[in-house]
Amino acid sequence: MRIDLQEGFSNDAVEVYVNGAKVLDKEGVTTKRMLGLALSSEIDVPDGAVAIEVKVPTKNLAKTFAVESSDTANLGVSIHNGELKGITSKKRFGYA
Amino acid sequence: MARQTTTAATAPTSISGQYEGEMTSPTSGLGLLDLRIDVDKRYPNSPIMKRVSGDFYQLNKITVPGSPPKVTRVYRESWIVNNPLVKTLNGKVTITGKVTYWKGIHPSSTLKITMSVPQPGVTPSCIVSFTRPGGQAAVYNCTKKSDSFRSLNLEIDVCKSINVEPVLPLCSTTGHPTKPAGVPQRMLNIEESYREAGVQVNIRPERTVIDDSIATFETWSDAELHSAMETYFSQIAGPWPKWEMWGILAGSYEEPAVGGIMFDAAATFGGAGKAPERQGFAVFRKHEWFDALVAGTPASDDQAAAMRQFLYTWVHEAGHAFNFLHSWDKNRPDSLSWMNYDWRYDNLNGADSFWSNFLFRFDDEELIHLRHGDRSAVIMGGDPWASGGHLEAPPGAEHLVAPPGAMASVEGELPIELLVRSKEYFEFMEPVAIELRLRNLFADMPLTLDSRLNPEYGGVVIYIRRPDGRIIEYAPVMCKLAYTSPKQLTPLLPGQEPGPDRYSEEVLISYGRYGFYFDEPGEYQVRALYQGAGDLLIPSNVHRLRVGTPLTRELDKTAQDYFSYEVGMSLYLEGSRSPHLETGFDLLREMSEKHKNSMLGAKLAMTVANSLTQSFFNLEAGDKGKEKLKLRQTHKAEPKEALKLTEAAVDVFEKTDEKALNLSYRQLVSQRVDCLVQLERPKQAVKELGELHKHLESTGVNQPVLNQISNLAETIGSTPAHKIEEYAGRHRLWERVRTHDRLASVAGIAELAGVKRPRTVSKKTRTTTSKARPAAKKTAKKSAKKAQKR
Repeated sequence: MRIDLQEGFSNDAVEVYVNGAKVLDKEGVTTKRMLGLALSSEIDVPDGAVAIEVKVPTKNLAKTFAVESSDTANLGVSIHNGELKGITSKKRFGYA
Repeated sequence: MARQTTTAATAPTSISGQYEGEMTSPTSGLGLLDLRIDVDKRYPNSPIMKRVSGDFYQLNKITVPGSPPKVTRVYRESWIVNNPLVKTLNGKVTITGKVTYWKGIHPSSTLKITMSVPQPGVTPSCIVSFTRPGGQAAVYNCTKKSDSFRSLNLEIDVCKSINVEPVLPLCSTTGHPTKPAGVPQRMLNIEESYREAGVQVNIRPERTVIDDSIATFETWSDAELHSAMETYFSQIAGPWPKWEMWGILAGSYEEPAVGGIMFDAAATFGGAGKAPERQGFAVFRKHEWFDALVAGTPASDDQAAAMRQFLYTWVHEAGHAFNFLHSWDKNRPDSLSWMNYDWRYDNLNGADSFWSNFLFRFDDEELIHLRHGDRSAVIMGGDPWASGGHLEAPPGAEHLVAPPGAMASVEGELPIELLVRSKEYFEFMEPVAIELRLRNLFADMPLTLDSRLNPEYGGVVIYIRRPDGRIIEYAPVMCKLAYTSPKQLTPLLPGQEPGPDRYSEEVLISYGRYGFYFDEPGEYQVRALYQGAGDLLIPSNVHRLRVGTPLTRELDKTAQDYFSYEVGMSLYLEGSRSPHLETGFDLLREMSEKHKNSMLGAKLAMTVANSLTQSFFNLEAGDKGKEKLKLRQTHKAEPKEALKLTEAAVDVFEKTDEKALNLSYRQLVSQRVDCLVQLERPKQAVKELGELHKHLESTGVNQPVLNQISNLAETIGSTPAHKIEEYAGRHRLWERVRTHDRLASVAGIAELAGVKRPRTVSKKTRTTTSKARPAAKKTAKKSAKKAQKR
């Protein structure tokens, strides 16, 4: 699965957990406003229902997204109005 | 693939479009108006925005004997009229409305346009008047020049690795089954998409193929794209902003999910971080969006979708270069615009909803920006991306609005150059002075210009862009009213040493009416605008300089006391013994001694020493109270002390090989020569002038300047002491060197030799400050009378 950190990141630390196991740990994550994208990363997920937890300790935010890995090839996560929001897509998100 | 013609028929009798014409009143030919009227249907599939807008230019007309006048136009400012009232009666059209300027404070004014109802085959023309209560109307006579509102050139280069057709998009609006019901069928390319939006895009026919075939090269970064633009963009040279844009069709971006990018923006937004911005963009042909792209008519839905996405990406990226943000960044996530993402729209409105409803256009707010926005917010290389006083500016960017005049730019080649320069790095708290230089660029014609370059006289305006992006106008503490000081600059003949063709003046811009201007570490940009006596408008280059961070914690603490009124005014006055500025003087003196081995200390020592080289008079209460205020000498000149204070500064300047400090070094030596002459020590004065000569020679200073120094040394060395004393009483070299007046030392020498020269008008118009001496005032009065007689 591909996870894209999209809008609202500003020099943030970001951790991503799949079913409780940390799969991504990045610091200084910042949205490129030209694109609406901060970071795009491939993560390994098992088949079936998956709990993907995204933590942003620098903003004291955390949210778990329940997805079906067979339906969801792409997860986009943004910070909007002080909340983590996610969108899913079978097609890869494109940026311009 | 052969380029297909896609241009639709223009509405034959529309009012709307771009007009242009010169001012007819109150001063015929002084100004020019670029007018955009948007009140009726000008082009198929192009919405009406109900706006009138325009840009004012000043026309510089320099008479060349035996030839037509040399005319250049300099942009001044822009305005808009929202929802104008349009009336048609008896074949006449009248358009009226309230004028809103994008920048600055203006008196309320109204616009009135009168014209005949357009007839087929007749180019429309109109009379445009701007009136304000109690003021004379400014009238322009304009003629329609285009059915678009703006026009620009787009240069497109392509990388060798992907140089196969189609390089550019050509897309049918109905070529894909997912389309809006009733969408008019038409073929769209970049030009046609923008023509509908109201901008005429002319794609330059030349296309450079960039060799990217090196085996180790895979993907492009922003910095590499910017570097490629600087290498290959044929229009990159010369002054910006201008209506020129560069696009590159490249292979892949470093982040494979990116199909295109306008890389020319600040690093904080993810761009290359190099001003001027919004000059270029890239489209990445190897992105998976374009996998199914084929030349010719698409034969499948995938191919049609790829072509549609190809067109979208080109128009979208060029849109960023016009200063568009993404739709959701403008709180319009539901906008059906070239600037939205399809998947973002679909996420809010359902699968395929974007392409089922998108009409291949920008939204209304974007169209207003594109057609009628403030010129500097739209033009390439103008306001930085995501800033500017325009409709697209995001909340919080208001402080980035530039003052009127800051974005003045030249169209065409000016016969006069205004150069701003200084050293590039200043220590924290080091006084910032810039050199302003006028230069005659004519090959065969002398020009007479007003040489008062200090903003105090109002002929020059200086703009400073601070590290936070805010552009502010430098406001001098004093405003001086004086006669013009004409100076003839003669053209430089082949083989002639530079000198007679130019005139320089150093201006201290650290402190002004609103305090300190360089009080934060970081990068600053400085730009000046020469207005002379009002008949010219010459913008300078943009000069970059950096202010360093405090080198010690102690220096950082000192900043609290340093950035004060007393210190600021002491610097502004180039030293003062006024009791009101005593704390400032004391701090400067203390700092100049403490930091005497640095440039900061050297500059401060010069300021303090300057106030020691002359007596100071102050108004003080007489014996019988305040009614009897009397001018008293409170400080005697202390040339010995001034020399002692600047000893270390000489070493500091000696050790630097920075050419930009030559003028300051020359000032320092001139200041010391003044003191040495006062102290009747001509030998030492000659020695220091010799050392200055040697130093300047080693940095490649022009021969005329070196000659002045050696002539002065020779004259001081051979003049009897009493004559030197007489000279010293009336002249201060330092002030003359500050204005870089080539004739200054010549005049001084002539007087030393006993030749009396009339004093120039400008010298006696010096504002009376606490430094003025009664004797000098008397001389000034006499000279003023003489000047009036002349």
